[in-house]
Amino acid sequence: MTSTSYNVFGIPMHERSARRKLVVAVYAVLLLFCVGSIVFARTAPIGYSWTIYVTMAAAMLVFGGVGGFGGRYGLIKPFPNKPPRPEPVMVDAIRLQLAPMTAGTPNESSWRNDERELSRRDRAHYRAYQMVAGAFPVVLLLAAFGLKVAQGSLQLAWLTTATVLQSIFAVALLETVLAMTLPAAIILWNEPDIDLG
Amino acid sequence: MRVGLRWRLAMIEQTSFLGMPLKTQKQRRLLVALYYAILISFAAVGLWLDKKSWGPLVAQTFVFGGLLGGIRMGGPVKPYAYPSFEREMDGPRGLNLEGRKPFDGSLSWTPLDERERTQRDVAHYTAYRILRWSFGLFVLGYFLVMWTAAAWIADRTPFLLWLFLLYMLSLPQAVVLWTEPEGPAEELAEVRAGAR
Repeated sequence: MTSTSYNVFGIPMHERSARRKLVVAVYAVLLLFCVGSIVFARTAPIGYSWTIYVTMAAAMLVFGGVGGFGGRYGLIKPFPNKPPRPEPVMVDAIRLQLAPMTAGTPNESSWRNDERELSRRDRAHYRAYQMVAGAFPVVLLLAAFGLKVAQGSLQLAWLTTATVLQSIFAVALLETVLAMTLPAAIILWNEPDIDLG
Repeated sequence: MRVGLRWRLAMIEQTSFLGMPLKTQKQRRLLVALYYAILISFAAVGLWLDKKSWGPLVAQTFVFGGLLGGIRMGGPVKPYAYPSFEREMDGPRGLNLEGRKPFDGSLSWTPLDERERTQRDVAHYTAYRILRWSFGLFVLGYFLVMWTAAAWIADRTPFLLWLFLLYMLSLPQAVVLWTEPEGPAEELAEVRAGAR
């Protein structure tokens, strides 16, 4: 498991079933935000930005891998495989000789991915790429369809320009959410149980 | 000797493509640069085309996007997985032509070995990272143009999205061709020459 921590909000995540529940729960929350931002698109158009912020928070603080906050948070080690930024030097602690060894760059095993972890990372990105690229034509089709409706070359009683635009917005938003979180979600979903004993 | 060489073969399947030699890294990089230069000039021309002219282009998405291989057979990069769609579409059953050879008899598919799978996965990881940045730039550019020429860009949104799809489909193959070090392609030529 490419993990630095086996806990999220105090809940142990070393079992695969627990991680799968976490992935489902996170995507359920993100889906709620997506639906909310679409429903309230007219009255509160800024809502979609909250969806992006929540996705970023989930990707950085819960899933990990993307390397936000110097790669200190989240279940998965940062994908770039580079050391996190050194913590601020605790000048007072060093001056008073209070455990100065804790200052500086974290332990290498907490951020460096070994060969197996790199292989898992790359495979997860391969799968995620297939899914993201596979979903992209839906945005394209909707955009082409929306343009026809907007220009009046296609007229259907039940279909309005606003409906098509909202559909494009919804699919694009889901695609963005997937692109930001999918590789880490795939790793969390597939990794077997971890024996901590 | 043969086994040793075969193990070291990379995902580059051809030593020449459309008359262009692909034996050295420089030549492979030139192919990638040319491909994207053609795509950009395509974009420049396409943006001024009539909307009705885009239809035939869109029908060729898979061909243009898979020109470098990877997602289809016949390109310089080995297919990542069994190209069942392509074969079924062109096979005797799909076209109801009895006795016709499926696709092209000269093209044979072999599964990727462990090293090639690793290379494929690494290329997709790199492509994913590049894609995130380029998607951000694409969205930023789109909104900047939106400020000045909203109607113009709205009309061309499907075409721009289609170009981005082509870019997305071709990026991992471009990464493979760009990053593949010197050597394996020549070894491939040696193996093929030896096999004849």
